[in-house]
Amino acid sequence: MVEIFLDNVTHIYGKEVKALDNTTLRIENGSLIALLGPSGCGKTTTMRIIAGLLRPTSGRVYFDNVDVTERSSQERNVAMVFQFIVIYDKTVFENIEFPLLVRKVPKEERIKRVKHAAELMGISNVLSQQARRLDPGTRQKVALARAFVRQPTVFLLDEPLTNVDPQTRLELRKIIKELQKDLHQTMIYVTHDQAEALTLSEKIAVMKDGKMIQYDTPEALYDKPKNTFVAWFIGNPGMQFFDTSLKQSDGAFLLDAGEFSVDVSNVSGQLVKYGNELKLGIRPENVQVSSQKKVGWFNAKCTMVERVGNMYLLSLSKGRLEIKAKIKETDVREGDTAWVQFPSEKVRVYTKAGELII
Amino acid sequence: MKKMSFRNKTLFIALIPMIYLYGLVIYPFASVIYYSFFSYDIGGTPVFNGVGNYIQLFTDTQFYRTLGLTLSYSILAVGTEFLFGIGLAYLLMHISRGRSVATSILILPLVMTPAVAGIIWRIMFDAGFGHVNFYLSLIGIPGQKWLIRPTEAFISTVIVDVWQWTPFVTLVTFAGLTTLPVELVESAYIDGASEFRTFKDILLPRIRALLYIILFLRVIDTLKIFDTVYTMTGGGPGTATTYMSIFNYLNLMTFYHIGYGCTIAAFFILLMNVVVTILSKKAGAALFAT
Repeated sequence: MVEIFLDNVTHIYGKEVKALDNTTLRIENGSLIALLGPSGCGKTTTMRIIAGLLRPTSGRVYFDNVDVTERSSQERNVAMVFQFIVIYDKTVFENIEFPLLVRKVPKEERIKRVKHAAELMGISNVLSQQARRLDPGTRQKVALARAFVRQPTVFLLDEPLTNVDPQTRLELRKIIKELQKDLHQTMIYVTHDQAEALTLSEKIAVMKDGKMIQYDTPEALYDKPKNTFVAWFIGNPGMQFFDTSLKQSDGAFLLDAGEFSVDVSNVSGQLVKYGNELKLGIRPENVQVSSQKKVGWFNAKCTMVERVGNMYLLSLSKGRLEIKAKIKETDVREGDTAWVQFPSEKVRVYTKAGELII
Repeated sequence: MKKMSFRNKTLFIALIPMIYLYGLVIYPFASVIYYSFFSYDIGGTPVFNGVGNYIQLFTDTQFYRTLGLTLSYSILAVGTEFLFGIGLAYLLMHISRGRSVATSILILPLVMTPAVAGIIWRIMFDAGFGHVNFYLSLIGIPGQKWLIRPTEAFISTVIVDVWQWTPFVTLVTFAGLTTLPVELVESAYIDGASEFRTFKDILLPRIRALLYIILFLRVIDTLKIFDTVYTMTGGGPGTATTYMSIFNYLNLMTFYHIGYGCTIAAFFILLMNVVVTILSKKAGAALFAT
């Protein structure tokens, strides 16, 4: 268990590629956090710097307030599971045993710990088999067991479920979650799959272009994304945005998108200082749609209805604007006129530059 | 008549060169086997004598000496090439600057014609004016009678083979190592393994199939060694470096014992087949295990 602190870490590959840009991140002792973001955002670079596989161009790395920037991975006692399933040309037992053998752990202790790790991963029945002959899911379990058996201070998981079948992915997610809960291990999980990040982690660091954009709980990221990138990135589909002007009409303050407007009189005091041009954001699942006309709702034409799991994703057209709505049940069909409302408590308002106001 | 399918047409076309090649191989091969049952010297008439040549072969002390020498040569040469070759591959992995220069230097012995290599090394090993004794004298080691004494002659042929073919082992091993994912090394490093241990316990086993193939090729090559040794020592001094191919050649082309020469060749083919079968099974098993 360890608290990790990245202090203004920057990393540049070669002379030009800035993979990390003044990133500061504090990972609490015993927590499971996810590094989430699109490809190339710097999450793997961050993980490799924490692991000691990469020395940052500038900035420091601390484990429990001790500067470990110059220390090797071995000295940091980290364990890492890679996206590429790493299995040695040995039996399952020998694979799991390897880190203990290298550390000259006595034989009896080694056997005990290997068996325990195998049992946790549910692979006790394949200990004597050649690891490379097993299916990818089982091989990744072997890799996890090998990481776990060392009792490291930090677990680093670099998209470990990417190359694994869906069934095993669910199984492994559960194992990882239980491991973390039982051991209170500090775990860092890199993923581009937000469903994985949202279900597994206590906190998520959303990254973009080498910068840490927001580091918060899944709920806060979902409800109060601090900028339009996070709002758009989190969610399936993410938040949608409309360019609006803040206007006053008959004593009420409205965010006017041209084709529709939303009353924001109750928060106008917070908005006026940011100028007239603001962005209105709302998640598709928060958009209300009805086939019946309702007071205060605006009409839009339904251009497409898609089934997404047990939900419907409606595409609605209002003038030049496209609106997405994700609802459980609907009698609205393609070509129908629907009635739409954006509940004010679900609306988020951003500056023109994309920073959250309310 | 039913028109041949595209697949069958393709197979047939692919078979034509194969049939031609096998035809070229099978005829001489069949001739060797045929004449091995005949008592036949050049200028004479072939006389069928059943297994007489084979009995002669298996009661010929020179044959056993030759076989022993050839196997010793193969084991020593290939063993040394593997040791040095894999070691050099390990070193190459750790060079970032100058790797292309190192590789270019390594290739030089490989591109030399074996017969020419034999001639050059004959000069180098000359006891009187050869370079080897000269450089040994610079570090206080007395000159050796390299191609004059039997043991030294044997060792010198091994040295030449190691000099010429270690780069092959190095470069192919290195090529295999470079195809391995970097995560393998990183994982072993994080697990606490030293560089050497990672190389020995993690990387080499991963390219086991490739190593078996290299072993297979080198063993075959050393068992049938001819040109380098023939130009360097002629099989001498005496019979000190008369390996199997040279023994065969001498009987056929120097002593003109066609029948007996064919018997030696037939046995040699059988020996090679056994070695090839064993090694290719090992290589295949290692390949399929991955």
